[in-house]
Amino acid sequence: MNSDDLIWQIINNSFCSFMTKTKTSKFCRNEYNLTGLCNRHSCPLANSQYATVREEDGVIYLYMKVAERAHLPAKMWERVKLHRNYERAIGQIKEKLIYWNNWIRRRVIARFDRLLEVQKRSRRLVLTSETKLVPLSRKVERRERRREDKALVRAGLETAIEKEMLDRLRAANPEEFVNVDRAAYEKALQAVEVEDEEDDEESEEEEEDESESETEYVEDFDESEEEIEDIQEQQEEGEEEEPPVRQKLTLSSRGAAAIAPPRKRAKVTVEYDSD
Amino acid sequence: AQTKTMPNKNKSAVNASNSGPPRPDSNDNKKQKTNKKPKKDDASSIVGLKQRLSSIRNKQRRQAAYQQVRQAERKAKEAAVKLRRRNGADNGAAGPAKEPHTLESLRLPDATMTGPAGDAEVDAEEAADEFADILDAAGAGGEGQARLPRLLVTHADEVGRRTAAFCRCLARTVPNAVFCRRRRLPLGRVLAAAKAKEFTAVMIIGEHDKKPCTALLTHLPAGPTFAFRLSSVRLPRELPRPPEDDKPETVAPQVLCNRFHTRLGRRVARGLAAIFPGASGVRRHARVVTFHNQRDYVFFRHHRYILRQPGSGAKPGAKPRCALQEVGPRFTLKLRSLQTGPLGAGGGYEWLHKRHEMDQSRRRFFL
Repeated sequence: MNSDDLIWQIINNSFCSFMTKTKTSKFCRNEYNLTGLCNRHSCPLANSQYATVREEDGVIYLYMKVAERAHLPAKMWERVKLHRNYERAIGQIKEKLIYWNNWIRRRVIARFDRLLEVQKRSRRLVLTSETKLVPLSRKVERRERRREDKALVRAGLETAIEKEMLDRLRAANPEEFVNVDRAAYEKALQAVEVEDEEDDEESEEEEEDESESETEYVEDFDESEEEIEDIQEQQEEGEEEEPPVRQKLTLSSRGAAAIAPPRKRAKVTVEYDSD
Repeated sequence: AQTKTMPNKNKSAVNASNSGPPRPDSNDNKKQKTNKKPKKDDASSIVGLKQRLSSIRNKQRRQAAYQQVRQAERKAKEAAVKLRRRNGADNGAAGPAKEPHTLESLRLPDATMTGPAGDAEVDAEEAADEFADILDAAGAGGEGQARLPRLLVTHADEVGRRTAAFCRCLARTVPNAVFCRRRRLPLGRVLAAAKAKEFTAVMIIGEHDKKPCTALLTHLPAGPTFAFRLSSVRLPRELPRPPEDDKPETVAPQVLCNRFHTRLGRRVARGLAAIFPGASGVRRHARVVTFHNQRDYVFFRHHRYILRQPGSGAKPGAKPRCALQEVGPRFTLKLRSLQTGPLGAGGGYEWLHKRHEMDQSRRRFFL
């Protein structure tokens, strides 16, 4: 024979494993508890007529205790899957608990409402919170840091960049990179100018045979003015870029040549008179 | 190898009980012994010698003996090195000069590495990949104009000042880039807006401990998604010689992608380079942006360069140089994963860094 009062007397006064006390209140950690508090009418153990609403894997069920089977704890609880439609679910609850305690019916409906709210909020949270916390291993971080430092030393960035840029510049402007003694070049240039003047004086017919030195100015050549060595001043000029006729990307390994772009520069051909 | 008797062994055994200065004749024996050592290094005899020396019980004398052996060894080695340097490969005795071992020289060969000569298959694949219309459009007789890349830079949800500053800096370095605060927008909305406004790539900088720590680069509309780990971020004001001015750049920089050898490496290089519009021609002074891969760490540098020809007063052998001034931010990228398709499309992983599987050898690199 199952006496609720007897059970309550025992577990309330001596020991209940589900009970947890704080300074202000007593809580019940039993999963079937309707309110979560440790009370005479909330206690699932001490009430043979008892019902709850619980969520299992996203589905909400109405659990009811069957008084006739109170002596068989494993088979004591019956459950009903509540309808997805709110009104029909409430109807189900009211139908199943029709002759039950008013208090239990109201508390069950209240708990059902709360469970729905919780579900809604957790679904919204999953959608909005995108930051996933990823654990870092200190050892791994330290190791990566060390290896990065060593790789940086090995990279020799400034040298590598300079080399690569010189390669590209050489491919684009090969005449700039002729290995010529500059002083001698200047001298020879002056000599040519002097001789040109002399030729002009002497005979024009001879000149026709020789190929003339042509200076062809294709376009307003900004770069000729920029012999000034201040880099920063140059950036102010901000030339307008022509529509992107893009050069094919070249992934440089040492020795890969860049494709020469279409030139728009002055073409200067200097003829040396051989004496 | 000379056979050596060990008269001192008995003597030291006898003298073991006596603590005190070593007897004069035993000392002489020691010296004699050490003087008899072969000066020419014969490796096995040296080893044998060391083993015999190890049975000298007296620590001081033993160490003195070892020291002399080591000195002799070192001298022999230095002599050999000198010979080798002087005579080069001709000196058969010393052997040819050896290249020092480095991780780069000992790198495990990767089947997907492409040599400098190029690979027709690789080129064909690259002509058909997601970046071809940005990077290679001039190829086929310049029929279509290249798609102009446009980058959207944003960051993770709540982010500190430093990360925001870095994002802004990035947007200034990359031409045609825009920085937008995230304002807790879900990524789906960010990407949808980017697509609508015709961005070609989105870069999302993530944060840890108030420092930028990850970079997610997605190409739109169909492009792959690169997830990088960001480290060693330095803003322009933190550079060793910070640039004085802060002018926005109008000319597209040269883009260098150094040392990307494997297929994966090339894909990463193209993915990074596709953020930048093409520079038409190589100017004598402009900017250069470098992605340099060394041991799977991709170092980003941003310089202004100028070609300096040696003046008329220079030495006859002087070569033209390219002077660099560092301008932009510095950072290091390490590839974590590469997914096909844009972010959020749930594409499969082309490559995912799995530490336990992939980091087992120190000589294996993937880029």
